[in-house]
Amino acid sequence: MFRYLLSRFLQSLLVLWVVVTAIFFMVKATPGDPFASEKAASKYVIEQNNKVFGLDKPLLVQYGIYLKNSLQGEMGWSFKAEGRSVREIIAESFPTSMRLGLLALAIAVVIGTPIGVIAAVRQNSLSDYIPMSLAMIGICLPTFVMGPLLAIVFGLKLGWFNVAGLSEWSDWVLPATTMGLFYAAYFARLARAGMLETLSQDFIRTAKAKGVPGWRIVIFHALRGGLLPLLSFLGPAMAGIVVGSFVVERVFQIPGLGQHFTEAALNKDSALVLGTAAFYCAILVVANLLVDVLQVLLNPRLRFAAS
Amino acid sequence: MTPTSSMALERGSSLWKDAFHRLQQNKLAVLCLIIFVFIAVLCIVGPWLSPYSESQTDLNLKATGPSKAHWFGTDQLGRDLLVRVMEGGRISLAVGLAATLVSVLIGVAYGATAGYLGGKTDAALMRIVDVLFGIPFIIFVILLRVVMDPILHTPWQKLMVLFLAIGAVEWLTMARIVRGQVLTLSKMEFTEAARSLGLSSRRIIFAHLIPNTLGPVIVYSTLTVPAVMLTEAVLSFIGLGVEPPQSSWGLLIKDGAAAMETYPWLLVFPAILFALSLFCLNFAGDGLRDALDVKGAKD
Repeated sequence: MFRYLLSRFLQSLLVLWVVVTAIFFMVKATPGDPFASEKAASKYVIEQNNKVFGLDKPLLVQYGIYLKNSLQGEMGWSFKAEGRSVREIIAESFPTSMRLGLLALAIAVVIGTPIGVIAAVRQNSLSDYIPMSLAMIGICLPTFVMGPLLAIVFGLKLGWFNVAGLSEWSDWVLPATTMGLFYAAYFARLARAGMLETLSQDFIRTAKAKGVPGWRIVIFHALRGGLLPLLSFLGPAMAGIVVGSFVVERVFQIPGLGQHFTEAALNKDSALVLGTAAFYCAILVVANLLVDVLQVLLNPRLRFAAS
Repeated sequence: MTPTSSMALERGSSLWKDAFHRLQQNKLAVLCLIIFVFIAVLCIVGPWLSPYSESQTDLNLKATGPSKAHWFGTDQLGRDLLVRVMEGGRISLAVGLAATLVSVLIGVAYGATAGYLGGKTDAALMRIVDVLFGIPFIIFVILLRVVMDPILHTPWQKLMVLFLAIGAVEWLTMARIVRGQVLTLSKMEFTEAARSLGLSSRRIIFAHLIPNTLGPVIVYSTLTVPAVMLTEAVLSFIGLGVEPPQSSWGLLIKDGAAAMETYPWLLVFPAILFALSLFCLNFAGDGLRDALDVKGAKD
């Protein structure tokens, strides 16, 4: 198992290196250096960035400097936010996005999982069909439709929540729900499929034959195996939540990292875009690694295969 | 057994006939397929039949709700929303189909090569796919848009980059599926026969193996189209996808969301058409998968 984890760790390092390198050469290969062609940037910022990135040196030296910078978390200076380093902006806005993402994930798990489990236990009944059809609709209603709809109904019509900003704790409810509902739908589908498969296995039949009560079978015997598919979906879900944050932070005017990233992309604030992109990749690679480790720890089959 | 059915048995039944028969049993999937085709045809043909054009403004009208003259109402500039939704649908569907086509081309060629060559080459090629799976691609699509912006001038060039970029990142699952299929197929007798006849690897891959993977490829393509359309809409929504004067469903939903308090229909109609299309494509894809009995294409 240790060897497996080590190889996964090394693989993650490789992915990070590939990502960072791809970003570097993508920028270098396109005509019109984004650092040089930026008209709106002040002279000071351009000089600073030239110094940080060593833009007057040969390409390979630049690449070396860039790798070293990336390792140290040095990402240059924003063109638009005068006098602020990319690192500063990320440090300031990422906690907001992370809290939002974790809240959304919690909502997704808390709402989605029980619905999926109940649907599987009562397969082909109304408590299967109705929630599952709703889940399918939920999957097809993207966050940028769900967000405005929730804002209209609960913000403007009912007046329960503010529709923009983050000043009170209740301001977290709508954005987190918007992001969470989509994944709740997904989790419900995965939980249902996983539980159905587990419930049809021999050890469940044995438990039934021995007279274990139904609820005990579901909770103590089937749940652990049935919910494993959810775990492997956590990796892609993290990536999706990052993308969701681009949309949700825009809809609800939340000053998170997603907002900064999309703003920077729209404003052609190259240093900020590149730094943020590399940061996102790093976060996701680490998250994927954690999910893999968790999976090995919780799934005995993988544990044996890995050792 | 009635004489007709025994006749049918003698004639034999192809994979496609079986699949078609099974698909017909799945009423919901057929209904979804019909609705989607209807939406697609409406978007393609509709703008020619409509008395209005996409950019034709009527400032006396401004934003008015649905009426007999304008079924979906009009926007703030008095443009007919129905025509705009149909034109937007053209772009959304075009991006969906074109990007899916790109992803199919890359994924099939890559997966078939890996599966056919097998051994170390296969291991290396699939390890690359594993590595690529860990990379958040939408960020790269956005990056590509930003760094290539200086050399993109017309909206059409931007659109091309958009669907090439989306297609170039959506091929991974396709490659995995095709590789698995080819791995099984290349151990079958007909491949061995082709090999012993002295056919080249390329000929075997393209003439014998790939045609046999068509079922899973079709199924997974049906599921890729909505994924691509969603990506396009997200990009357009945050302002990094399709740009005015062109419009897409994502862009219309964005404008609609901005005006939803006063003119809700501007959000409701594009959102309904968009969600309905995704819903139908997903259900039709699921139905096709069951009909063709494809395993491993799920999620």
